[in-house]
Amino acid sequence: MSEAAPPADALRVFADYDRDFVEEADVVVVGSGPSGSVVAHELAAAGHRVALVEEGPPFTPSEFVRDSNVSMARTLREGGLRSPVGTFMPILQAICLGGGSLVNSAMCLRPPAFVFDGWSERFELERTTRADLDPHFDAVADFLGIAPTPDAVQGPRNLLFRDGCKALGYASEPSERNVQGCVGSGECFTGCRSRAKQSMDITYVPESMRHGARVFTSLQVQRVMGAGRRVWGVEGQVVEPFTGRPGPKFRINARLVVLAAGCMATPVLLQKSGDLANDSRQVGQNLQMHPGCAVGGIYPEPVDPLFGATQSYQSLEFLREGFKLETMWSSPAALAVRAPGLGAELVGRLSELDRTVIWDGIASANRSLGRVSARFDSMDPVIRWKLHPEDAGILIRAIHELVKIHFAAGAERVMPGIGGLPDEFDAVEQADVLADWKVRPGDLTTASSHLFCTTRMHGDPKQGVVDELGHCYGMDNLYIADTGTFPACPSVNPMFTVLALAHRQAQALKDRL
Amino acid sequence: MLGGVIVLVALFVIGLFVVYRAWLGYPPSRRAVIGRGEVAFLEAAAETFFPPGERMPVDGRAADLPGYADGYLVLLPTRQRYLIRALFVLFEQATLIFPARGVGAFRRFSSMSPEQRRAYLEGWATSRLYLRRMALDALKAVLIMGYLGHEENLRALGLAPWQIEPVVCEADLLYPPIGRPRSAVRYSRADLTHERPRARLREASAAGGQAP
Repeated sequence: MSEAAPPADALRVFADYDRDFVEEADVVVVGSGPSGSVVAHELAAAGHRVALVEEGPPFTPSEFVRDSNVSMARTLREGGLRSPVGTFMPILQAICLGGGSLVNSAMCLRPPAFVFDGWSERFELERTTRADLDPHFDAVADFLGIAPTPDAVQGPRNLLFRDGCKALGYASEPSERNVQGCVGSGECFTGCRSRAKQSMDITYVPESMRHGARVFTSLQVQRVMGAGRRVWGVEGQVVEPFTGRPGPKFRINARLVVLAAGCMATPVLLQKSGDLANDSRQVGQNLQMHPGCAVGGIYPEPVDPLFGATQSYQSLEFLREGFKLETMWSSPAALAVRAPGLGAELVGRLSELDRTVIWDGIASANRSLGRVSARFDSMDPVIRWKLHPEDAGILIRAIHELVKIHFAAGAERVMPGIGGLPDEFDAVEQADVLADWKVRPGDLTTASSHLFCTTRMHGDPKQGVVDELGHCYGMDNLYIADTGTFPACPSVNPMFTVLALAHRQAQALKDRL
Repeated sequence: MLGGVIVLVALFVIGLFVVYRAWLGYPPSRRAVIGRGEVAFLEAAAETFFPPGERMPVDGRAADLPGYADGYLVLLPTRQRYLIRALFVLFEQATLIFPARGVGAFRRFSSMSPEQRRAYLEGWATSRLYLRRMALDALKAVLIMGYLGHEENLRALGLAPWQIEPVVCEADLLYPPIGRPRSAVRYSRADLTHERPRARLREASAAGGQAP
């Protein structure tokens, strides 16, 4: 652990770029989200010259805004309005130093062993069991201080979930999170003003700078330079924060390139770079998501919903059935967009927000496959994805269980949020209709910030883009570290898994360099 | 010859109708992004979605949703900005395709009676067409954010954002305000309020979330 302050010139921001430039490094890492920042840190700590490139700017707490629309417009790609063609669904992807860790809820879950066993079996993997990854999970957990959320900051809306699960005999537990000194302000999604969340921009990134890494923000990588089996760096353009207006051009020459730009940007970058690493024709294919549905319960008394960690209680009871249940909170206005009704009815429901508790279920959606391709006029992706009816059925199962948990916890009314059904159930028996409900995917209101598999790992080079260490098949010195390498949905929130995989990859790269 | 004249006259009439429908008859309004037609639509939508409510001190009209939407659109990338504006125009003009009931069923949304507006929006909410329902959800999301984001409404519900003391961690000594040079970093080591050696984080969290 280095205690020395990073040198001031370790970071470059938009205002620093006044002309085209070229840099040299041993390794260039594209993307400063969870995976990229871990790789950058580990390699810098091992003494390698690392250049970490990020398209977004660094944020400080004074720049976090509470209005969700404004916050999303500033911190998320396409202003927070990215959606696939097929099934309309907001896809939330960050553009800022630290990536998604700046605006996620800090949940850190190790997938159970059966998830990795399933991966190994289906995708011919030999070194990716839970036991293989546990040392890497431990290393990251130690670094970030990952621990279960204490009761002191759970707040009523999270503890109601615990109580409801307990009444029904369902397993539940406090979520482990990468936070330190959480005050329970529930502001994770718009940026933690109390700096309790140990996001990458205040942990791995500055630590990597202490070890000599150089961090370049506001650079959009537009091409990986390479031919045949070798790459020799990346090039692109400076982009102004928020407006995306292009500035000077840059090139970073490196002996090794690690792409950690995310499940959408990495395949687009490969496609824009002459279809690199695509002998298998799998780049951009196999897109999977973790669609989630929210269910609101209205309780007899105010529940002080502002107080409590954003997402800090969960149930893994139904994980093998394909879904996970968890608590959630966001800004009141963002949560209220799902409120049913118009006019006085809508205003009445909004007036009950102080008595409303919202939880969500996320489904593994393994049958809902999509793909990502490059837009001709920009680095934004075209995303095609459609929720499969069977996966919609799993979401209905999740909603049904959430309705039951709400009533078991004492809710007066519950809003299932399904088109074609009543806006509210007044009694748990009314939810029995869900047991046989043949839902159309379009009747569900879903969202997702968990995306995977567009450059998936596979033991067979003909069926995957990378091997188990993220090394691109057919390439000597090109690696991928983001969630695109997941062979399938990890069943739980993905950040911890991608952190562990990146940590493992970095150990291998230390020897390689 | 006669056929050509008829076609030209028809095109002229259609053109006049389009100009009238899209631009004429709206009260003047100066906004950064949205036009006066969009302002009129948003005001009408605000009234329809958010009438005065018992617990809400600010109703839709008073919440200045056109001002909110204008400020929001300024922040969006160009493509998304046009998409949201297209959404406003769609709802304002789609009465031609999905007319409301009664006299004036084909008028622009902002020119309809309150009852017609409500019925028209109900038609979108209950439509069998997925895209219509999704479009309404998207519109509703923008409007609710503006209405409920109004601080007086949040305060009335006890949901106004917390006042949080500024916290400065070591990383904040590195990062300047967005768009400014590094020389503009606001803080020095003397400002640190969050200095926690990283090695002790895990045990601190296990002990209850507070730093030792």
